Amino acid sequence: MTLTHRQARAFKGTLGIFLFMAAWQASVPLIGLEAYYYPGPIDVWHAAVELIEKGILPVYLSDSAGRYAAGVCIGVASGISFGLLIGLNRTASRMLGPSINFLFSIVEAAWIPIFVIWWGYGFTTILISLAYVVFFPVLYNTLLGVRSVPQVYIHAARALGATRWQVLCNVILPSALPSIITGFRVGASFAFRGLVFAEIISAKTGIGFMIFEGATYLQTARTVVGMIVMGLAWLFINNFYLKPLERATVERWGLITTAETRE
Amino acid sequence: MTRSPFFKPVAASACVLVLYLAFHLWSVLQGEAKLPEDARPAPGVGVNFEVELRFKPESFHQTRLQALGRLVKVEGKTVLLDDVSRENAIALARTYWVAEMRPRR
Repeated sequence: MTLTHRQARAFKGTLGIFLFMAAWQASVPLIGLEAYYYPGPIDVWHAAVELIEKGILPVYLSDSAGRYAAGVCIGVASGISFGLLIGLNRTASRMLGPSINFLFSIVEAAWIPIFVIWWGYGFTTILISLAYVVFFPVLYNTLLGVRSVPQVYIHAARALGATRWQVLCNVILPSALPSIITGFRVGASFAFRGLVFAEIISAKTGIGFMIFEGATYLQTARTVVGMIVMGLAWLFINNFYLKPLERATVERWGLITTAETRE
Repeated sequence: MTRSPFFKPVAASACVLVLYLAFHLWSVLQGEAKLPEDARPAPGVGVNFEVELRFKPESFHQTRLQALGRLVKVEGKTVLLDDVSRENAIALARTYWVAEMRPRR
């Protein structure tokens, strides 16, 4: 019996995870430290089961998911809007370009103390922090997409009588969409890191808070559970939403030449 | 034949939705069993409850319980919660980490 390419890849991936877990578990007695210092996979498994039984993990996961979704939506909407504005309007580009370049260099972590002063601990601060993290990759990719549209397409559409709005909707946006989606994917991954940091500082619930609280109370296995949950959540979002979305966009509007289109 | 790129997102969303609805239904059913209609507070009236958890409460549980009523005392796995409204009592009964809840005088 031969495995298909996909089955072989899945098998190798599972084997890799299994070997990693086995090596991790084997290292626990060799290192010989207490579980609170260096938990093994079995400790982490017990902690995960306990967190689910106690209702902590589902609530924290849903809190984090809600914040993440809201923050990414705001960041993407504002990133695309500013990207289009700067990409299409020279005056806006000259006015906003330097400020945006300056702000890009200031990481979200530096803003959080000020956000806490302005909006206090909680949802708003986390939301603004996440939107800030997502904003820049989406903006720069939108800008790249808009500026990469071949001028000949725009001139052709204008020559055929298209209005500015029609050129935007039918030429610029479809051409820029693969770049926008790439920015969205990059921003969404940055938001995951931003979420942990924002929750550590300004939340009393959420996976980021659990990671921090676990370390504070020497429940290190809970911290590791939080890290694993974040990783799994990212794999889920990336594989089931972002990758298919990117694939659909690139196939529909990207510069892909298939056998069908060549004919 | 290749699948539509939207197959995965739609299937994943449908799975999440089905799991959520199944969990919600299970919560409602177990809530009915823990707090039958005759044991529920009347609308607008706060009732004191003795809430039995499946484990010793952590700060997470105490915070959640405080949002539903006035937390008076914690004794091992038992929490005394006062002034619980009808809506909050139903929400509490549906919480899966609550083992039992009894009205008390």
